[in-house]
Amino acid sequence: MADIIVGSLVIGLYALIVFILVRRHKKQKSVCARCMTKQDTPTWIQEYQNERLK
Amino acid sequence: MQNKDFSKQAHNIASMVMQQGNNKPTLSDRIDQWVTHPILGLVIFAFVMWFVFSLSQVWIGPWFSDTLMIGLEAGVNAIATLIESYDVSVFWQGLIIEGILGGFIAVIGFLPLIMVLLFFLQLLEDSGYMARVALVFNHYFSHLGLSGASIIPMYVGTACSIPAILSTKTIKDDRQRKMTIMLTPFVPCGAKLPIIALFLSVFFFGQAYMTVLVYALAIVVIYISGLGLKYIFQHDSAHHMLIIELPEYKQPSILLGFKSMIERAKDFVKNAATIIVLMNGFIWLSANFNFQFNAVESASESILYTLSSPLAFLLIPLGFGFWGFAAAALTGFVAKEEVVGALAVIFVFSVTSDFDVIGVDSARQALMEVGGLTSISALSFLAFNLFTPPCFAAIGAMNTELKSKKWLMFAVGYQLMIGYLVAMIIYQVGTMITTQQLSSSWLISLIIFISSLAGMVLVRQRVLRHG
Repeated sequence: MADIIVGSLVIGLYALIVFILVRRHKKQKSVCARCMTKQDTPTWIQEYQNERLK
Repeated sequence: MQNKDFSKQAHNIASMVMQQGNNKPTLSDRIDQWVTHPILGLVIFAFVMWFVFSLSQVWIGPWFSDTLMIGLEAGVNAIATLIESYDVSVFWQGLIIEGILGGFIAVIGFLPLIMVLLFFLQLLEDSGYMARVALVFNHYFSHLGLSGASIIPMYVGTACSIPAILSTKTIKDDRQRKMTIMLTPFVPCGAKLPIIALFLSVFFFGQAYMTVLVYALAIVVIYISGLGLKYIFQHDSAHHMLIIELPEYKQPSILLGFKSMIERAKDFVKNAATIIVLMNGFIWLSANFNFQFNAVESASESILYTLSSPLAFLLIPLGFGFWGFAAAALTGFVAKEEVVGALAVIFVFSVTSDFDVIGVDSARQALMEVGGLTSISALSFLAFNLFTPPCFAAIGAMNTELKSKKWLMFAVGYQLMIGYLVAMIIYQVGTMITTQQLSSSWLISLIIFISSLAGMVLVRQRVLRHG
């Protein structure tokens, strides 16, 4: 019985992880290059990139 | 020559349009004279990085790391006791404790070191210093025929190679853009920090200068492999100056540093809790079972051994021809942090009979006694993981930006060759210096080295013929 409960929990955890990863992958695909460069990027680099992308 | 002409023209135009007045250099100008100097700027940068790495890896970080590990170990022991008390089978106990939690904790254990490092790097960024560092390196990279704009993706690449590769869109010259895409993954990204932290804390604890040397090695690798690409492409296009508005120096915000550190730490934990946990489970299963899905007595009968030992054979000239290292290096293509998780799962399996959480001491014992690693081969393994192609997600970004399967294959092949050669040179030369004799694989290493150079000459001739 304990095996069934623990096994279900582990398989459930793995299913959840796969679901999260697939969703994250789809989200990432829809992010444009400019937005990606803006993530966690210093202001002086953002300004430089935007100037060159004009 | 062209550069000098540009500089002369820029100077003439500036002197015509500038109004004469109170042109006394400000304090910021005076500081910039020192920190953007091509040679002095490098020395100052090396010292600053040594100080930051000392703070994160020797002075402050380990204290937080040890405290976290004590808490995590207590948590794992509590879970292990709970599972055992319910008479759960050995299979599930092993998968949860050794596979899922063991690998996860090995990666998360380095989070405090990385958080302290990210906090101080954010302070440096906020102070305006890092923009000056970009200028210092622009001076050197211009010798490779790279545009000033190439330094920006490389800077972004210190966090993650994916946005860095995507940001090469702004480079107009096609050859320069391709070169930048191929060189940017050599910059150690955030995901490679746990590998650096693991190997340096296990083999070189307390020697913060080693981390500076690893980053210096990355710069040298970028420079030399850039020269290699310049040779293959016969590339000599005009260098475009890097024109950026330098931010004013200011007192960095502690709050901003803290916020940035928390954000990056969240991403790190998210990655560890998903992809790392998933991968560790598969590694544990494949290291403990054979293809008939029967539990194995010895690791040499396992699925993982069967799959990774042919690759391990190729790694002998690099000093780590043990199947566990080959398997861990392979998992790095999914996510670079996973190398640490995979090593924890594989070596804890090999070393302990009871369920133990990996710490620095047990990692040292496992890597040295079971894997046969020395400090030289540890450096070689570290270099191999830093300079071979990046994770699949970054290779996908390379594919998007190179827009050609042929170029993608060339880029991945070139990165693989560079990573292999750097690791091989470190092991062969390091062994020669430390033991005063040649390694047993010196001849095959020499043949591989000469063959690689010959391969570059052949590719160059092909490029000359077909463009």
